[in-house]
Amino acid sequence: MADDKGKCDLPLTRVRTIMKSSPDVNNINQEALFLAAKATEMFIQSLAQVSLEQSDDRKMLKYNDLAEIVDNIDTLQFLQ
Amino acid sequence: MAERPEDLNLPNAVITRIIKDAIPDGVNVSKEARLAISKAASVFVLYATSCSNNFALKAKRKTITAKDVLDALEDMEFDQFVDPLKECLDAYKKNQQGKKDQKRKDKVSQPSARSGGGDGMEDEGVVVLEESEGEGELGDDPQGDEPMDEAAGVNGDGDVVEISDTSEDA
Repeated sequence: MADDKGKCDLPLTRVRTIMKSSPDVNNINQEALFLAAKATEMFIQSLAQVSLEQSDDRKMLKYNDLAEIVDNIDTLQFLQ
Repeated sequence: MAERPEDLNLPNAVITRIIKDAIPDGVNVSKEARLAISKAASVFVLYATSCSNNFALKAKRKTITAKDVLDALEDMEFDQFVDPLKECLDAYKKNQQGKKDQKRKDKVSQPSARSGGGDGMEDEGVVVLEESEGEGELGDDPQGDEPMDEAAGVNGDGDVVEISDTSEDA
């Protein structure tokens, strides 16, 4: 399914709530909010794809698949 | 704060949809995996926010801008997202501009709806609800800075555009 690039499935108000919970954050402009949401969408897709690729069972994505890539991939260290 | 537990999670249904779109048909995702991805996504938002905010603060700004987010993603080593995101941003800006133009057209066709003098600046306040998913967040923040964000409009240059800024004085 080709997404409308200018739209995001994630609800912007919820993303904003999360962002605002971060200490020292004052304001977030509307475009930044959109980008954060869209980037998160990409992140979810990326995470799912990569975990599946590394998985032994290509038919089922399991918790362990995710745990493994978080261990193995440097850029995912923030998730540990 | 009591709002913490669920409000920092993203909706399950949306997460599931995004995952399913990313993987081949017929592949299943365990509940635990889905939950883990959901939490990871929330953590990602926080991490990206923190990095973005650092860029904003370095530039002595109080508002996180699109550029801050893009810089942050590079810093976080997610640079593969940057170019696609720029395209998305362009599409988003076009959508927003389209909505604004539509509102102006609607206003013109209803001249009696407003007092004759203004340029329709009051309409900009209506934009406040556009991006909201109806979760009613706007009324909750005691600090009162919420409306500014929602009505920020298309100004991509820097700080939040105030409502009164978008129209000329008559």
